[in-house]
Order: sequence, then C-alpha cells, then structure tokens
Amino acid sequence: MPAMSFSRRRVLQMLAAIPATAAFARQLHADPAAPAPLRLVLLMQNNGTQQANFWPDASLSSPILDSLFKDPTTKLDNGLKAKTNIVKGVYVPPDANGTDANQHDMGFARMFTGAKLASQGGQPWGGATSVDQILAQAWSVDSLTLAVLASQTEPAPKPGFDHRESFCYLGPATLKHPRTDPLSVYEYLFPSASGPAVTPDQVKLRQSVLDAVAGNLTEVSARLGPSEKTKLDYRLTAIRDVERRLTASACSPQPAAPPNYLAMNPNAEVNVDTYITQLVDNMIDLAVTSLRCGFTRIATLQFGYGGGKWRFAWEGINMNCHDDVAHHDTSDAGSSAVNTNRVVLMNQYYASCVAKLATALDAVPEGGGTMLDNTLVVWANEQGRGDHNQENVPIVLIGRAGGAIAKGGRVIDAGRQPFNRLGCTILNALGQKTAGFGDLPDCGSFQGLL
Amino acid sequence: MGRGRTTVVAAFLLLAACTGVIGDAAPGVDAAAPVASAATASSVPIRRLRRLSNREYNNVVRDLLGDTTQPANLFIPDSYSNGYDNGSAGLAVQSDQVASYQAAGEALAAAAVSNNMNLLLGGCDVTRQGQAACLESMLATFAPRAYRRPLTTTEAARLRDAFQVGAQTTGGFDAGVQTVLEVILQSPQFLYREELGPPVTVSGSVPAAGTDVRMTDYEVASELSFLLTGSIPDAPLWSAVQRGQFHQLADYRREATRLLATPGARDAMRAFLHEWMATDRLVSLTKDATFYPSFSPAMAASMHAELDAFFDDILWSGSGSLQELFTSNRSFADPTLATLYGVKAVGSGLQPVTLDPVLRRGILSRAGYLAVHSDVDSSGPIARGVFALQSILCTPPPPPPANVPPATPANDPTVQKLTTRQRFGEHVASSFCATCHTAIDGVGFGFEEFDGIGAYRTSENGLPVDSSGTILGTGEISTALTRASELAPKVAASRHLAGCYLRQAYRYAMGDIEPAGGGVLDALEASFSPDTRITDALLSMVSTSMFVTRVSETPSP
Repeated sequence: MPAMSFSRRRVLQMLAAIPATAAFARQLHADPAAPAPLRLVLLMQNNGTQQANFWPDASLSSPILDSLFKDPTTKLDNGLKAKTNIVKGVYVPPDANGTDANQHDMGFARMFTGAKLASQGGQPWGGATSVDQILAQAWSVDSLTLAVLASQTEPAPKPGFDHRESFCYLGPATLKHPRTDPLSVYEYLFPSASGPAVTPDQVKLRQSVLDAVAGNLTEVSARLGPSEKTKLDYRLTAIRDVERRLTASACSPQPAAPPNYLAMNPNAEVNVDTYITQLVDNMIDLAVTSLRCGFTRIATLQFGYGGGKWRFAWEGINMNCHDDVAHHDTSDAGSSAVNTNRVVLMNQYYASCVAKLATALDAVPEGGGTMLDNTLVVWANEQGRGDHNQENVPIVLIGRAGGAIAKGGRVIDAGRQPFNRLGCTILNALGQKTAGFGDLPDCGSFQGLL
Repeated sequence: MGRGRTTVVAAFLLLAACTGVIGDAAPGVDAAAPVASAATASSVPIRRLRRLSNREYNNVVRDLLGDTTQPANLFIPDSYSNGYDNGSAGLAVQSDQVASYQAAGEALAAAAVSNNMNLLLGGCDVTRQGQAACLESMLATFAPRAYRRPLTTTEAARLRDAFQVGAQTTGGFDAGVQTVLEVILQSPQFLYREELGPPVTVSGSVPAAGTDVRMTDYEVASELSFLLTGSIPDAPLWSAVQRGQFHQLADYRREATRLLATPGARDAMRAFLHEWMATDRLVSLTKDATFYPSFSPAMAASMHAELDAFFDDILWSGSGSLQELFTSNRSFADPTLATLYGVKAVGSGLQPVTLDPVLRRGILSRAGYLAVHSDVDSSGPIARGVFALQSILCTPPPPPPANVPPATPANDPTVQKLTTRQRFGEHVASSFCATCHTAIDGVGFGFEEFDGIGAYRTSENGLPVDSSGTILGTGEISTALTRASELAPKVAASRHLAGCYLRQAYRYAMGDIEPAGGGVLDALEASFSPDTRITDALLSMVSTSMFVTRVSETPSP
C-alpha cells in the first residue's frame, strides 16, 4: 500500500483546523474587568542543595540565593526578593510503604503527590494525583508539562527507574509524560505557524468527528467506576486543550520559534549535554509564553531525571554530578572545598533558571501588578543534601498567588515539618481549600505564610 | 498494585482439575453472579479500560486495515507501570496522544478508503447494492471488528450521523465512509480494551458495587488474543465468538492452543520476553563512544535481532522451558556479533552459532542483555546485580539508606587505573554499605568479565578482571561463583526463578501487579517448574477465573 502521510507537521495542521468552542473563546477573551486567573508553576531539581551555602542571612542573601535575587549582568537586585518566601525545615520521611525506593524516588515521586509510593513490582511510582493535576482538573485546563532530560551520562533511566521521567501524576502510578522538544511544544502552542490553511469544510468534518468521539466517550464513561472514569475525564480535558490551541495566533507578541535541535542532532535531547542550557532556556520561554497567552494556567519544568547525572560542563565541572559530586556532599557544612564549590555552582545554575522564569512573569503587567502577583512559582528539590539526606529540603515560593501570600522577603522557619504541607499550601493558596495533603490529611499549610 | 478488592477466587489449573471450572455454567447464566466457588485469596481487577499500547495499536491497524506503517511509533512512549507496556494504570491519554490519535486516524482512514474499500464495506458492492446497504454492511461487519464487539444502537446511530456529515460536506460516499472510519479510530471503543462485562445482568439489574462480574465472551476473546498475539481476535476466534462457540474453558483452551501456533504469538512472546529482560530498550540504547567506539545503533539492532531469534529458538524449536532460556549456549550472530562473541561468522545476516559454554550460558550472558544492564561508560555491576535479584529472582534488595557514603569518583586520579570492581570495593568494605551491597555486588561482580557492551574481557585498565561473586539470600541457590556462567544452571533450576517468572507472567497477562500474599499465583506455582514450557504459564492464567472476572467499583456520580 502507498506510504501513509503522517508526521508531526500533519498533527499540527490537523490541530490548526479544529474550531475553538465558545467556552474556550470565553476563557481566552475574558472580561478585562474580571480578576486575573491564578496560576501555578512547579520547578523541580534533583540531587539536593548545599546547605551551608543555601540558607540566607537576614537580608536573604546567600551564595546560592544571590543567583536568584540578582541580575546576572548588573548584579543588582532583580526585585524578586520581596515576592519570595523560603521555607525551612521541610523533610521527606522514609516511606513506610516503600521497601523499593531510595531518597531520589521519595523526593521525586512524593513531593507533589503527598502520598505513599505506589510500589509496582519493585518500581516506586507516585501514589496519587500530583498537585498540578489536581488543580488542572479543578480548573479544567491541561497543564504544560516540560522537562529537559538530555544527559550524556544517563541518556535514559535504567530498567525499573522509568518513574524518574516525571514528577507529575494523573493518578496512582499514572505518569504524565513531559514534553522534551521545544520546537514541538512551540508548534503545539502556535499551530498557525506551520502548515497550510485548512478549509471550512475540513473544519466542519473534524468537528463532527470530535462530536461523535465525545459522544462515545460519554457513553462508555457512564459504565465506569470513579477511578476508571477519571481516565476518560483526562482525555476529554486533553481534547478541549487541543481545541484551545486554535486561537494561539491571537496571542501577541508571538515569540520566535526555538531551534530544531533534532535536525541538528537526532540525539540532542537524549545523550548530548551540549544543548542542555539552551533547552532549559527555551522551555522557560515556552512556559512563560504559555501562561502569558492564556494557553494554560499550570506549567511544570523538570531539570533532568530524578537522581539525574548532568555533568555541568557549562559551570566548569564536567563530571557525573550525581555520583561524583552530590554524593560527596556529606555534611551540611560541605566536604572538600572543591566539591562543596561544585555543589554550589550546580545550585547557582538552578537558581538562575528560576530567576529567569520569575522575572519574566514579573515583567508582564496584569491588573494593578504583574503576572507574578497572580502566580505561585514553586522551586523544589528531591533531597535536602546530595548524599540522600532528606532533611531541610529547600522550598522556595515566589509570587503572591493573587494575594493569598501577602508578604515576601522571609524565611519561614517553623521547625521540622513534613513535606505534605507544600501540597497543602499550594492548594490553599490557589483557592482549593484543604486541611491536608496526601497521606497527612490534617498537616495544614506552612505556618505564617498564607 | 492490585486495585481490585480482595475476594475469593478459585484457581482452575489446566494441570489440576478443580471444582467450579469456568464454563460449567451454561450460556445465559447471570453474568453478574460470582464465578468462583472455592478458593484461595486473591484479587480481581476492577472493571476497567485498558488503552492499546503503542505496540498493540500498530498490530491492530495492521490486522484490521492491512496497514503496516506503524503509526504508533510516533506516539509518546508508553509507561511500563506494571513492568510491561500493557498495564492498565499507566495507559491514560494526555493531550499529546489526542493529537496523535487524530492525525493517525485521519491518515489511516484516507489510506483505507483509497486502497481497501472492499474490506471496510464487508464485501458490499455499492454499484449493485447501493450506498445505504453498504453503509449498513460496514456497520455490521467492519465496525464490530474494530470495536471488538457488536455496536450498541446509539453507537451505530452516531456513525450513521458521521457518515451523513462526511458525505454531504464533501459530496460523496467515500468521504462519508472515511469520516465514519475516523470516528471509529478515535473512539474509546477502539482505543481501549473493555473489561466491563455486560451493561446489565440477565436479570436486568446493574452490577452492584463490589460485585464480581464475568466479562462477556467478546471481551474474553479480546483478552485472549491480546495476551497471546498482541492484537485483535483473528478470523477463526471472531467467528467462534459470533457463533457462541467461545464460552467454555474447553473453548478457551482450543483457541489458546491454536493462537499459540500463529505468527502473532511469536511476535507477542518476543515482546513479553524482551520486556521482562528490559532488552526492548536496545532500540534506543546509546553508549559513550569514548569507551565503546564499536557500539552503534546497527550493533544494537543486531543484538535485538539475536535475541528475537534466540527466543524463537527456545520457544518454538527447543523445549520452550525456562531452564533452556537460562542455560542454552545456542544462539545467532551476524558478522558484527560474531566478532563480539569471538566466533566464526558463517555468512551475512544472522546465522546459528554455538557459544562457549564456559562463558555464555543462557539469556543473562547475551550481549544485548549485558549491554542494556550496563552504564554508558562501564559495566555497571550494581545495575546488573539489582536487576537479577529484583526482576529475575524477585528477591529485591532493600533501598539504600540516607546519607550515602560516596564511592570514589571514576575520574579520581587514585582510581583511574583500577578495575570497576576495585572502584566499587568500598561498597562491601564498609559495614555501612555491606548489608545490602554484599548481595547486590555479589551477583553483579559475577558479570565483570563482560564489559558495557557484553564483550568478554580478561583485563580492565591493565589489571586482571575478577569475576568471582556470590549469590545470597536466595535459598537453595545461595553459593559462591567464579563467573556468571556458573550462575546460569543454578538460577535455571531455582524455584525462585519459576515463582518470579509466574509473577512476571501475571503482570503481563493481567496488566497489573499481582496481589500481595500469593493466592492464585501460589496455586499456579505448585504446578510450574523450571522445565515446564514458558507458554504454559500464560495458558494457566487463561484458565483461571480471575482472567474472566472483574469487580464493580462504586458507580461514579
């Protein structure tokens, strides 16, 4: 039979032809007098921080956090300090259910699910829906789930470690896969940027197909119990998101397309470290664009796999920074001077990435303030310290979440407190009132924050 | 993680007759009635949907439409939530997949209308029989094959409506048929395997929450065909279901035996064994060229092809037993692998070879297996040890504790002239680490005579390689080893292997993790030994009531 024409471009052309429904048009062209929508950004790194160089002094200054609060060129304050709260004392306890996971998994699969791990034949998956997906369902939006996973040292997780590909869960053990190619994300967000125009007849046909599929979904869904029905609910949400992409061209200014990395090197996003910093920058731009244009209200970005092994050559290290650097950071004070400096450099890089995203949101006027004022940006870490220590996991919260977080410029230090409070805080800050999160239904939010 | 409630299920073994054999009940029995009569505690999965994995999607469009373009290769990868690509929990649909299903559905429909209209219309001649009759023929023949069951009245009406829009919008019968096919290919009835049972019982009631429900014959037929061939029921099975000749245990045995002799079973068993061994990862495996300059995608493809042939040889030409899978030194090599194995190449393409039994016995010594279970730049004894203990013997080591003392970095000048084993020596020298690593490394070090691409070596960094090891905590096979090949016969004869394989077979067959506490698996294990045929485990699964039973969740609001 003739070769079938099917490509990513074909997908995008098809997407461009699907009409936006009135409901989505309303969401995209909201009443300017209405309150700005709340938004969430989750940023997740691996391998812990350098404790002695992270926690700040009274002026919120530290070797690592200075990369968050200062402009990299001018070295002047970038304005984020007043909108930032840093939470101390967070720990991730050993999972009583987990005999098959280490601290990378504890932090990565539990931090945003709050639950005990879903142990599946020795593989520890997240045990519940993650907080970003809880909000996605509550807000009826599809989240933009991004990751940069390229790694020369670890091109793919070893067998049994696939769960380290994402910290986002649609349900117990049901990973939400991240998007890893910036160009395909861009083309998804801006389908009109690629492919020829589609005729009105094609639009009509595609709408009729979607209607029939939705009818079939509803018919099957009626026969399901709650957990299985959820699977189809996600699919319906996803279909709506696909429809929403149609009006992407209405967003202005439309940013330039990111590079076509796969054309440069088919393994650019697999086992090559060369492009990591560019990929991260592209993903930050896409997350900001997606929020600014109203394509979504939730974006997540993951820096490498859980327990990742980036080499940080761009920071002058060029070693397996998991095994040969992070594991050697064996005390809060640090270990050898050279190793401690390496851990600081790694974390300064992550801080600078967070700063790029937050300052970009803070540069978008919205209402009487900026988009950052209506957003909660969370910078979390799978561990407290790189030798698998789960105490004092650094949690940084930036933005005012529409006013739920009134003050910034603080270190919230309420003593040792369970990580579940992070999810509880996120939900309460963004309008989903709850007494607890995950396996601690009464843990409450971080004290003194909301 | 079994998500069903704990219940009572009888194991109906092929080899050990029990009471309450499936099919004792006559057709028409109340489908919501419990099918179990006696018992071992087990867990029945909930009534559920199982999305087609990418592998299954490719197989289905091949068998349904004759399309061999493998469109799912462009979909996002599947999660192996049960260790395999067909798990129920991991197969949700996110927006990327919605777009992919739409694009693939449009392309497949266009190609089918252009090339295969006769198939779509069930042989109806539009010129002679008319458009209306041929649309009905499509709904009566092709559509049920795609949905793998008869259509409901509303489903058929929906497709008629889609036909009208298609035909009227672009002015033609073909366009209408194409639109109908696009709907079919994007619908949950096509994209998901239904494990729901009938909508209502024969007594007219909706299955109550917590009720065991027997799946319909159509659903069981799909379960069987996807398990044994990775695709939809073939023509004989479909015909048997339609004629009411697929309802009893004897029917299941007959069809299972027949399906195992089809080419589809060969592909499905390859997929199952590759996924168990994680060697399906060879298709995307990369290595650091600094350390392994000879490794390439072509070499990885050769390794994968060798294992395909090796699995076929064991299953269909040999004894078909676990014992042989783990001990055979017969294999297949092309010139690339012949060089790696140090055997004489006898021609182009894969050719049968006999490997040195002192070095290479069974699957654990094949280059593809060893390459997957290695690091990009070294042999990876930890990974090899953990996988063997966890996935081959189901005796997983405990997780590492917090505050891990570091191993010496690979690029540290003090260790750059050491062997991998010496570099990891701290693991067992330190009492802090030795608790776990004595067991992990004991197995992993046994493979040290094979480098990161599975080539045999006697030295590393100018030093002799020490491949002695120990296997601990595994009962009767705990012993000291001088090399990995000594592990092969011990593992192959082990009850640990037989029991672990049955667990893997359960995960693959049921799309879920086995229930804690053994239950039905213990009953199956009693009749399964390492020299039993590998496929017999799957046949045993088919003969249990859990294969055809699901439990109702509380209805959604």
